[in-house]
Amino acid sequence: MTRKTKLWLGVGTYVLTGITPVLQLPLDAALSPAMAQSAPVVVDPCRKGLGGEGSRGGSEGGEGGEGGTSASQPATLNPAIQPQELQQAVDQYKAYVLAETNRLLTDSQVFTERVMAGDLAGAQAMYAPSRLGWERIEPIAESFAEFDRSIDARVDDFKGEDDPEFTGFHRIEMGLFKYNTTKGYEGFAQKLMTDLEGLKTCIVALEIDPRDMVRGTSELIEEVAQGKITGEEERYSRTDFWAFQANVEGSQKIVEILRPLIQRVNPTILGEIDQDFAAVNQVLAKYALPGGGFKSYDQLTPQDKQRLQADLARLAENLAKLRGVIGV
Amino acid sequence: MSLHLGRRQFLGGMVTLVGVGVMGAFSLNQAQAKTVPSDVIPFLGPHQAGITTPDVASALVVALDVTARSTEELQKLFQILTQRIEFLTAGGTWPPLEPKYPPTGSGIFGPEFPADYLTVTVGVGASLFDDRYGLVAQKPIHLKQMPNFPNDRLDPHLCHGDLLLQFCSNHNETNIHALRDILKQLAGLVVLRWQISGFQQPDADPHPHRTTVRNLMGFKDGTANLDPQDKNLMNHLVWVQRNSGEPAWAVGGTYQVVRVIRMFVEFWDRTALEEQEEIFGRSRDSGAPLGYKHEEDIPNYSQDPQGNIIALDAHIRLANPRTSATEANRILRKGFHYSRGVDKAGQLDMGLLFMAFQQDLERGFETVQNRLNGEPLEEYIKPIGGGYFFALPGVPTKNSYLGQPLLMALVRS
Repeated sequence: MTRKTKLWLGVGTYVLTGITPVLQLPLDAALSPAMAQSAPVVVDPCRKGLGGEGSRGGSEGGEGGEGGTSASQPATLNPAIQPQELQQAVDQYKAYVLAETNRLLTDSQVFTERVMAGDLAGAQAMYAPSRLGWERIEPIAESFAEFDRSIDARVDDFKGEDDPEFTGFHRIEMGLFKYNTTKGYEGFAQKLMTDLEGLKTCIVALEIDPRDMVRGTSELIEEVAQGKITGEEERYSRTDFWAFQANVEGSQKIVEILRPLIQRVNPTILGEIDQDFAAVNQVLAKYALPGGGFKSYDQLTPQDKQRLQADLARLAENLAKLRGVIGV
Repeated sequence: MSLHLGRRQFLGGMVTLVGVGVMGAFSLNQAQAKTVPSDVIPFLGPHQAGITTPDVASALVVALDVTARSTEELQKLFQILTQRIEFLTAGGTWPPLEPKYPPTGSGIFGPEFPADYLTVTVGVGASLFDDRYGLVAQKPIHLKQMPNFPNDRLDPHLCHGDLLLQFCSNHNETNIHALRDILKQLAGLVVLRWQISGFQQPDADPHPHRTTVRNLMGFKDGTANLDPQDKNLMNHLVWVQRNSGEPAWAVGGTYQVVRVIRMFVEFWDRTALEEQEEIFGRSRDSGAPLGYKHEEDIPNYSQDPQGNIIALDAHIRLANPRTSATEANRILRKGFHYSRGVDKAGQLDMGLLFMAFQQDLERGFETVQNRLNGEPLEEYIKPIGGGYFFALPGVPTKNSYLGQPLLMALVRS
């Protein structure tokens, strides 16, 4: 059943039961009137699923929130690595994810306020920076299918530009950069903030599985190699380099956290991964602006695009071995 | 095993029994006896396989751009490529791996994969001979970027490249299995540029040495093709020889032309048979030249100087005028069909994946194509892609690699 979310209602109302938020959705008007009188449908907004690769088979905690029971330790862990070392790495990553989530909310607050205030230039300038937090933790953020769809889906996933289900960053991006207006996008800005708050609630309650953390390094690079490289992601604003770099940073962060462990088990692959990251960053640096931020993605030369394709492929091949190296 | 096989036999995938003693004495109780599949095309040799090798059912042509950062990395690329082709064309078993690692192969045949007559033929494009690797002085003399001929409408996304890999085998899966392995192993050193796959029917009436398939216009194509088993002819027209003015490393290689030729089949199918036959110069059903009985009959154009029987601008007459002067322009052709969906006009996008091998591009393909420019057939066809490449000499011994003579020439210069 497809649900039509009515914009002025936002996503719905959060009812906190314990710590897991429960989302109450207004019923689609297309349903029978009799049904519409009944109790609202309750959907778990933290539902994992189609949005992204997500956290397959990971423990989906929430009861304990943060600092609860430690994540399940794989029996296959490389003997050179102590289980508590892996747990420390996961804790470090969780802290990073939370910090980036907070940054996402803070920056998006500024961004959406500017949209609602009708400040077009201000909103345009804040669009790409506000997304960085999301892009850095994309495998985690997009693992919540509902929020991935409402926050970060592109027009291609919907019936068209006017589809009311098309919401989130890219809907607003279309208004700001394609139609050069904030008018009519205030509701989308408001809903984006509501959704981001909901997402944060899910992330706070999430217990990260070490396997998902390690896979995250690959997922972020696959994301770039499959999608970002084409320039389809930020098609109206051409701010793809921002998202591109944030994905790479998010991947590199996980490698940094795991560095001592990888170094101990397989220093050769670590050296190769470092070289690969350096190669990708070298190309990105060519497009960085002195005052921060990046040139328009249109500036990317065919040679550099090819260079990036090659380096990302090599990096992806190497990162794909990390699960085996660590044994998760 | 001799490759001197009829096409049908070859496509059939024979199995040769190699046992102890004579075949007659063979019985199931002889444990020493084992079956050796005869579907391996030897990799080593003075020339690359896949050029004069008997035709197979499936082709995959993939153009790559090289992203190696140095001449050392380029050498690594050729070494990996050689090692993978040798492994893949022999058929075999994938090494097992730990479940937490990505598997070594794509697994589309399971743990064991067949040889399936696979050949992978490597060519280099003119763009590889720029200043990146210092190869400028080593470029084969005729190698250049394929020009636009008058009837061409070349799609930049389907043209040229630093490297060309031609996969030929009896199944699409075999080619894809090999391609995916090679791309994985070459990650970082190459990027994909374009690819197209082709297929063809085994001929129902095999010739002793070649195939004549019908093209997607319904006409026999390749009747007058060179005999790839004729070594003298190959040395005369296909393989680059010593003292030919080419760089020494190129000896044993050959120029490869790839042309993706779209056919407007809806229009063609609405064209009168008579007109179709005039355009080609052959009878559609028998494949015989017009005015002759059999496909193999050689048209005598001196008896038809006005083109009353076979028009002066008929395809076969322009492509091969059958004069002593034009003998030197003959090329070794390899043709597959391609079919890739629907164009913007809602018409079928299919046609001919044409490949040709010759000692000299200008004397071969370019001369023939220039004769064909303006032929009536052009109304029904549109070349849309392809490129000029130089198929490297073969790998003569176990411890050498593809492109080694080229890279060694670089060291010496």
